[in-house]
Amino acid sequence: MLLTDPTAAQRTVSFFGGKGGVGKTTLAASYALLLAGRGHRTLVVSTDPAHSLGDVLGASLDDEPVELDGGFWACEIDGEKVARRRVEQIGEEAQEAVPREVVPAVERHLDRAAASPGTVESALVDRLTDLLDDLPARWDRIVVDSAPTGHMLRLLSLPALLTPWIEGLVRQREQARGTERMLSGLLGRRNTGPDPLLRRLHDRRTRLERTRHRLLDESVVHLVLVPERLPLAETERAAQALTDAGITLGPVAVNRVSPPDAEGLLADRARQEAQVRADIHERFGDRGTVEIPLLRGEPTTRTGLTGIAEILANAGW
Amino acid sequence: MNTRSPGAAIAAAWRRIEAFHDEMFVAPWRQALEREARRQDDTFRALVMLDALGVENPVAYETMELIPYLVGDLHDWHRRMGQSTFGDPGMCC
Repeated sequence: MLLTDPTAAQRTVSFFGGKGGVGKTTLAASYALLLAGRGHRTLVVSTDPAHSLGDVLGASLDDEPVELDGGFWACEIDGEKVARRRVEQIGEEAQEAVPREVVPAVERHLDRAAASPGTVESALVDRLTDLLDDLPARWDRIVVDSAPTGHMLRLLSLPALLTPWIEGLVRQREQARGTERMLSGLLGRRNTGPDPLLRRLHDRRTRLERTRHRLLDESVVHLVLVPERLPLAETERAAQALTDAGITLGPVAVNRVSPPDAEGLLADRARQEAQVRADIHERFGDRGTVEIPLLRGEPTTRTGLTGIAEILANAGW
Repeated sequence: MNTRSPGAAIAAAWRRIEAFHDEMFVAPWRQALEREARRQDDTFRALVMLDALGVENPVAYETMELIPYLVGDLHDWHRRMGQSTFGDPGMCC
């Protein structure tokens, strides 16, 4: 059972997710323009490794948000780049902190950690955390153009998955430090003061916790699909997984709906879509759905996006 | 002839008993505590440096900052773990 959350519209962070190619980026960009047009300082950020936000907005984007219009910001996060930057930064700090002969070994171990399977996703969450932390100082609203469903689910659940692991490390370290302190006392050595490793672990845990709460309490996910069987099946699975993870689902966007008065091929498509649309309405009607008609061309211009933004606004977004 | 006062005799006896107690009980306990401290330290190091052991580490990115603190005595560690050589070329020896 899915629960309708009346506060979904007031949430400051909106994720757009769905199967690849259904129009997540177009809808995220349109919604962000709508919010900016209402006077909210809005950041639209892409977390999809295959970025298309810059293409949709006709701008060259990178990691650092740029203001495209007054109060309308955009950026594309590259997890690999964020991880590389962190490796470099820690490597530089190590130059000062560890003996010279140890530095090459530190660098090799850092490279290995950077090549770890979960690193790119963790780096994405890390950068997203920075941007979320700038609410409300820099932005009023953040719109996230997510990677296809599986990626988005992992991204949203990552802080909750990693926190207990870090907590386990904290406990292990505290135990080791306790034994060391007891030993120091016995040998009459002086206490060595606060442990830099524990401090760093505490910082990481606090950061992950903060983001986990923002994802649960301040975020809403809009699932996007086209009126076909396979996207609907995937959307239903995603909705279930998100609900299980405690993430709030907002209205669902049905993109590229064929016109009812068409002829020939499009008329056939419209008939097939009618059944799927009925199913979508039955499944997601209680949280609201909005239909965006099939357009003549790709909505790559700002006017095209504004047109979609108007449809969203008329649906009460 | 005994020139020591009874108090000094008691103090001397006390020191002897204390030395005996220390040798019998405190020293082994201290050694056990030292072993325990080292074991806990090794466990922590292994948990953070899972990658170096060839095990996937889900928090590799989160714990990267700890690496410089742990690499310094990596050599002592793997020797203690009973491995005379360690890791791929370049990881240690």
